Amino acid sequence: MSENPKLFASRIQAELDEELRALPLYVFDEVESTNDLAYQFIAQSSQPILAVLAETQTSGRGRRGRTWTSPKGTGLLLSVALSFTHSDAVHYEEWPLLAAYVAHKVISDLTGVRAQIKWPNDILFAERKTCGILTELSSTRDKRNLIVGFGINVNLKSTDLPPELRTKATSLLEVTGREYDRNQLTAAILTQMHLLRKQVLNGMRFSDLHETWVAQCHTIGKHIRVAQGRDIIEGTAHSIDPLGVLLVVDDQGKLHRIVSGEILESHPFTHLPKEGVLPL
Amino acid sequence: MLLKTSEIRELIRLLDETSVHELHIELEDGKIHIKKADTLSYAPPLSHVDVPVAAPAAVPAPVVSEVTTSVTPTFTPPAESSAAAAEEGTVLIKSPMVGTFYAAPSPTSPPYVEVGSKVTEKTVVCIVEAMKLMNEIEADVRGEIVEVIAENGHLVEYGQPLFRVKLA
Repeated sequence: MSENPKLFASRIQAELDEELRALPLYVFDEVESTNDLAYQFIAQSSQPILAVLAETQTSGRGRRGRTWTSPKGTGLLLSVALSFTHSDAVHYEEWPLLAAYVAHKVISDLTGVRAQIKWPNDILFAERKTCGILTELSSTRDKRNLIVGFGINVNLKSTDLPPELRTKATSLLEVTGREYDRNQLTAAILTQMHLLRKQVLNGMRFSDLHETWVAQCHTIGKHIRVAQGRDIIEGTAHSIDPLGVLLVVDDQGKLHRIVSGEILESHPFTHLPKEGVLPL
Repeated sequence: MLLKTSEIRELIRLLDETSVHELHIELEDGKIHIKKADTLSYAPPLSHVDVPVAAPAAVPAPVVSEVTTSVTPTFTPPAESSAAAAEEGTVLIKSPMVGTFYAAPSPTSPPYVEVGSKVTEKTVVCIVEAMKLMNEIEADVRGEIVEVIAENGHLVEYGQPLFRVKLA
């Protein structure tokens, strides 16, 4: 049997515990965007969680309309929709970081190779992106719907990528030299997301995972350029605070709290250990 | 000759419509310095990072960063601008969080709403992004957009006016 079978709901469900097996799971060959479909489904559903997968997307989105390249059958395109009531005390802005924690854990456990998290929610191997996450929040009359879209390069060969992306992206296959069953990967993510939802409803915050998260963070200690709104801030990524805010100290020694920003470039300092794929 | 309040207001309104961030005018008997809020170095209070829609959670105690810094929050409300001026029969849609204001779903899409757009309570008027969470903001009122106050792609603070709506 191929290590890279197609996505099948039944294969995913076989890996889930009883409670999760009942959750709506939609698997498509081709869709425009799994996040958009997940939103439509959860808006009309009474379920607290559901998932949408596709072998390929025609309008796969990253942040702010950027496209997400994933040749058919090589990646995991998974949107997990979670619903909350308006009165649930959920700190939604923490979810991109929580989702990154889940992706990091699942990918590292599955491959046996330690990945890193680039603030706030990319997963890297040896400086190259392996997983991107797009989190969207919207409301319907009686609930808040959180859509977490994972795009993971699983069985992608670097030759599948456009040349300009080959130094920026990698895959589980490229890192470990073997293929992975995306059904199994999906089940692991759903299990962790379901658990996380329960923990958050029981009061868990990012601050409870802060220490573990920071220990896996690629960004800290790097010299970075970060865009916040229309401003560009350049300095050293000093730390991530317990609310998930990135603290950057610029060259004048001034502290910047990056709440909404994107890291444009990062450079390791020479005195820091060389970044790379570390065996667990 | 001192400018009248209405003239200052008009200057601010004109400035809002341009990419100019700061204006300094010296007159015989005084000076006027107008600076857009989003160009100020802004260190938000920690509690503002919480999404108020998620209330009634208790606001966590401020966490003192281990960074020793001389920086104190430098945001001060801008001088009375068109954004803050009260107009009868209108209300402001304010940002529920610190983040980047996006008027449209993507850079190539038309904006969610424009001046003249009719909105209901559930109409999505913009996205405010924090920590890469794209948060759809709803009008929460019924009426017509009469002013788009925030600038696309700029950082907005908690409580900052985004739109003015003439109530239906």
